[in-house]
Amino acid sequence: MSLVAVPIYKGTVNDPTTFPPPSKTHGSYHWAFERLLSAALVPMTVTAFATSGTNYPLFDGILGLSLIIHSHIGFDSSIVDYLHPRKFPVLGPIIRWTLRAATVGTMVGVYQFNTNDIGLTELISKVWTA
Amino acid sequence: MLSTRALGLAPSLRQAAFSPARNHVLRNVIRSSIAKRSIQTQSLKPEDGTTILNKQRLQRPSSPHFTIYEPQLTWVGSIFNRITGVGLSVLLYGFSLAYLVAPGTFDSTHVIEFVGGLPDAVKYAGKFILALPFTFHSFNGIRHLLWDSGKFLTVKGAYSSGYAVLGATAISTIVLMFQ
Repeated sequence: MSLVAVPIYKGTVNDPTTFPPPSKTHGSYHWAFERLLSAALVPMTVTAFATSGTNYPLFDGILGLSLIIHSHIGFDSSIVDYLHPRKFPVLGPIIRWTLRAATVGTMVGVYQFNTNDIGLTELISKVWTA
Repeated sequence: MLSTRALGLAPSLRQAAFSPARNHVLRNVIRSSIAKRSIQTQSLKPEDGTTILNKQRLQRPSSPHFTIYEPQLTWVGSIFNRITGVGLSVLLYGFSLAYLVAPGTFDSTHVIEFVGGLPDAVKYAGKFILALPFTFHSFNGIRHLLWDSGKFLTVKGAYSSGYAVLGATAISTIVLMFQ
């Protein structure tokens, strides 16, 4: 199996195109969840600007987790668009699993930073005026 | 008789029979019949059609021809939304993973101390590089959410919301730079 698949027919020209089975989890629910999360980030970011993360660690934690999920969805969409397994049968899945591992690592890292250090909001505001 | 018709020899034979210059015509007959016989046909199996089609598909240019489109405010914001989003997310992932691996090096005290020691020009440049994608992604993200809820879905709406995003991004980037 080559690293990049060639765009050729599987089967004959008379075979129908295959479709994934219909699933609301991968369809409308996913779409709505993405939009709700994106919209929710607006008041969360405003709140983070207005308050101190150290005094409100719960806000800081929710904002950090939301940003990671938002980022993960964005990275995942990019992989689906540019490194689809249809064309990249080896590299596509490798990058997808690398992203999953990185997302878990980032969640642990943000949790550690918010717990043992000053937290993301406080860090950004302090670095900005450093 | 059937074979002479199939080979198209009938006119030549007729001509040869009635022509005075028999030798010359005979040569022509032999030459033309050899030429006709040399045509070869190739038998193909039904599945060979797919093979030929696949060979042709490999020669085709990839679609869409992204570069033929004129950059327009209707769609340019969308790809920059992705670029700025990926850039900011790489920073979030990069810092968090760095802190996870080496919390002693990437703790807040060290980071703030390092940034504080940078020259003012670098600080302003850094703020610009961070504030521009953040504000653009935020405002253009709201534009996308409005589109998703059915608002501004006209050419005029796409342009007016696009200019609004560019204006808000410029102002908020400058404001954040001098915070």
